[in-house]
Amino acid sequence: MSAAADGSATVFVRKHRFVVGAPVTFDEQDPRISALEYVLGALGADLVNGLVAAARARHVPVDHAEAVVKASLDDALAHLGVVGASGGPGLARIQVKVYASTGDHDDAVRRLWQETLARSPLVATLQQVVRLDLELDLTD
Amino acid sequence: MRKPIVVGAVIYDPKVTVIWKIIGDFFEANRCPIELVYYSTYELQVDGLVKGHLDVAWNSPLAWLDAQRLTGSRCRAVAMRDTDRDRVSHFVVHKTRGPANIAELRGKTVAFGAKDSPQATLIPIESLRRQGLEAGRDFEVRRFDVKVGLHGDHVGGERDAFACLARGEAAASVMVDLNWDAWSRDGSVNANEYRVLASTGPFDHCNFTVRGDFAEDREKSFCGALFSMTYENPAHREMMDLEGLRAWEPGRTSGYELLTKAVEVQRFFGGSP
Repeated sequence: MSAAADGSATVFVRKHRFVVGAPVTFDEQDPRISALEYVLGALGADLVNGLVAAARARHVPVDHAEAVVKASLDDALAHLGVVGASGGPGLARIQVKVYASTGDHDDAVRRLWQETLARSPLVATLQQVVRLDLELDLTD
Repeated sequence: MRKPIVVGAVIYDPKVTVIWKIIGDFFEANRCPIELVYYSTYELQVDGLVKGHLDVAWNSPLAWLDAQRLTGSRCRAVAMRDTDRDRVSHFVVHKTRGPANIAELRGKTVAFGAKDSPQATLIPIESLRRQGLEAGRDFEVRRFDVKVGLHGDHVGGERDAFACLARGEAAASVMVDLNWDAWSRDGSVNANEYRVLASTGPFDHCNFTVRGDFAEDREKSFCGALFSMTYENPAHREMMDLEGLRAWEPGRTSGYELLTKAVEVQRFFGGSP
């Protein structure tokens, strides 16, 4: 990846590229996605895509899946370098709620969810260092 | 390249840094680069100013007095917002159940903000003292020590004090005039049920503080850039709205008499009576 003068960085991966903004942003009008937002989005996508892929492989219908990801830093002021900040800049907690429409296949999908969690590289890594609250909410 | 002027600001919410970044960009564009240093409390910021880690501190009025105390009154207030001048705090009461005048607060409970809030605690207590009502002796003090260290920047203390009044646990609560105006407009305070019983005398609020040894040319550069910010300029208006002002004014210290007496009588910084 390479940094630009405007404070962004361009990431090159295989034949793709994407732009990353600040490590963390507190500006709702910030035009760029922050590094932290990419991490959180990646975790949500990992779980949603992992579940859908597992369901497809088992021929279990999952009509629609989406996730809401929320997270909090231990001490945002520490990230900002505030003199007197008492905590750390790392993530304290990540909550992911995955919503899926499954018809009459709730039990099967719940088993697939457990499999998804067990096989997710991001879950396996992050759960060692931050509290993960991961939930599946099924509708017909 | 000229060495940036180091400016300190107290941050209680990360979103406040967004405003300061805009201000920093403004100074950069006006050829007066600043370096921002953020503090979690005013005590730490004053310490930074006194020790020379900062050139300029965006100080609360209490931090101004603290800086003067620690430097033998060698600091200068170089600028302030128009909205930092001539504020008052209100004693708010219920229209029908509440006292009719200040004297009727005798024997009652009054709800204040944080112990280090000039506008919601220190000045109002001094105001009552001047009207013959001593805290603890003539009325009970119920304080809401929300985010102590921020000198009442966070309005939580005033909000909690009003909630105490609304629950009927106090006869009056204190809030600065700007909060009364905003909360009676947005319905947080029902202006049909509550009224302002009385107000403190006028007092001044925040200022940009420098030490006495801050170079005159650097002060001129800083103030020159600051005073070039105008509300009439659409490019400046958002920044000024976020900071809550229509104009920057030269610093003055004539508006700190009430607070100076308050901290002396209430021994806020310790010392003998």
